[in-house]
Amino acid sequence: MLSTLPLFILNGLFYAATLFLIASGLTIIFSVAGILNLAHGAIFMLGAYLATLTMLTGDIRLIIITFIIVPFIIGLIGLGIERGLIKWVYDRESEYQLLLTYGLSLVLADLVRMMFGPQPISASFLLRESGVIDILGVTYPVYNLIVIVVALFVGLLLWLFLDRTRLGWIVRACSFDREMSSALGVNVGLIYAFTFFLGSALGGLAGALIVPSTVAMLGMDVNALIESFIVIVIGGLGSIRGAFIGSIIVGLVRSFGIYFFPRYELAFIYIIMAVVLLIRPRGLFGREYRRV
Amino acid sequence: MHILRSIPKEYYIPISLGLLFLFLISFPLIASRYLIFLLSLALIYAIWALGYNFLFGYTGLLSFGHAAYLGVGAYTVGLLIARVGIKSFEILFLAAVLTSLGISALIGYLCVKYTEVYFALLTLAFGEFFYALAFKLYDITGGSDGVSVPYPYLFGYLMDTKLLYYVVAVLFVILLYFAWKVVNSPFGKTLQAIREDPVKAEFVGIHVKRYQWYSFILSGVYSGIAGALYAPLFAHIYPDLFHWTTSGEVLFVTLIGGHRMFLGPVLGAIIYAFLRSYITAYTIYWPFVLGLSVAVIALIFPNGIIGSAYSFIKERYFSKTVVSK
Repeated sequence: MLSTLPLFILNGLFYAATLFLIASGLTIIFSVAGILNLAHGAIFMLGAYLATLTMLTGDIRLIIITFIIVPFIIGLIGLGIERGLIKWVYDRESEYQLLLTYGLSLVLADLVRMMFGPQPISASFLLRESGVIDILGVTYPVYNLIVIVVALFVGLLLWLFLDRTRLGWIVRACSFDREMSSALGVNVGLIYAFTFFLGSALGGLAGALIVPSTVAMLGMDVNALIESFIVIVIGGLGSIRGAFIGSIIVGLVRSFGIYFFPRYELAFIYIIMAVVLLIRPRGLFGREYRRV
Repeated sequence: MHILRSIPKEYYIPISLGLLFLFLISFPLIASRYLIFLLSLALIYAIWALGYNFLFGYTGLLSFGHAAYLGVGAYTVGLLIARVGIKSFEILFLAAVLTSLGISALIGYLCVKYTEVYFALLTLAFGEFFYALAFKLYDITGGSDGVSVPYPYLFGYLMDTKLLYYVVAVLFVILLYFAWKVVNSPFGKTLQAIREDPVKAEFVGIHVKRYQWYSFILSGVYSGIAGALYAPLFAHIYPDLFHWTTSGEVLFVTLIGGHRMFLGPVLGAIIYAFLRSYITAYTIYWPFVLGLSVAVIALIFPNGIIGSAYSFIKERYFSKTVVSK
């Protein structure tokens, strides 16, 4: 048990890494634009499937570029969705916003099925090529470690961006008070569009990162959406720090749960979510939710 | 019109229900087996959507996880037949009502503490929990294959497609009448007050959360009943019953008919059943059609297709402001 402990922790951190990327995309879009994007899971899945296109070629330079190109394309798709459709429902009741993104999610997921077929696609070239490493007494794939580091790095960049740059300040200002930001001369619509680009790109990056060590398969969209939602509930809706802590909790619980209680692993995550909701309804780091 | 006027208003409902009942009961005399099956499906969806609309249309709470209660009803009946060997539909039905009541009470209690997006996502998350459970407890639920369900017996009679149709029809009429009573009762009006303005409702002394909870349970039990009828109709239960696209179907049914009209879900269910059997014959991309419809309705027809058409016609032709020459 003790000798395999690092393995569980590393696996948990690996889950946490991708979850954090997905959840932070979801939470940024929600906190700035006030839209809970139910299509975010499908966006993530689309990223994973797009990444398989280059991963299957086995061309290492192409694969490295994938991690930049795929988030960019997915970000543009998110931008297109926002400008084309979601723009029209900002002032509507939240039910219609949810219905729209729910509909979009089914459409995107089915488009993926049309383009790539129903079979899962495995593209583990990068995982095999990068080999394994002995770390903390266990043998672990280097690629998964890289994913953990990349997620940490992206999280750091995100924090620097939101906390230290002018654009980041404007984005946060919009999340606090839309009307006041608008009165101060901020083009709020542009910031919303940018937020959708950024959030979707994070989802797309998570998709591209996860492909080499797992598979791209239908149904991963709903799982990702639900798990990142649980992360957000635990951490608090609209908080990047919350998404960070929440994804580590969920990742570790999942990794230990799968080993010790494989059939009830999921139940643990839900129990944690229910407990957090009952004790701290706004999550660990959540601020009072209000319509902006 | 003269004959209609001579009937006292309070008889409208019993008479129209009676006519509906007569139509439904005599339907099998003229229809093929497939049509009977389709109408059974439509009525089951109508029961489900009527229940769903207590929550969505009348209380203003949007749930993405109502497949869970349909699934609970269906799995209760299916598993009790296939695994325990209980064949009497009376007991199975009662069991489905009780389990859906218990589970919707439990989950509803957690969910109604939150509103809007939180509520929607919590219902979604709990719905997916059952979906995962149906996979993971494979030695009971049969995993992804599900379990095939033999015909149950109703008072000693084998419940084949035809008898099942009659049961569905009778239950549908009863539940339709009950739903009508509920939405026009003080309880129903309270729900509508909450939908219009929860804050004001709270101020006039309504215990908002409690009423939302009751509404959740009521819709859960309707869904459970629909599930109890669904399992014998398809003679099979499978995890996809819990999936969020299934929750999307009840949403679609309610929206296409119009969630602001009492009969909207019923109309929607009939359209849905026939539309689906037609579309799935031509394309496997049913979720695409479903998602596109929901998105279009959300963008363009906020009162649902039938609801929007109805209000359009009403305004165009029956509006009191139009002065006839």
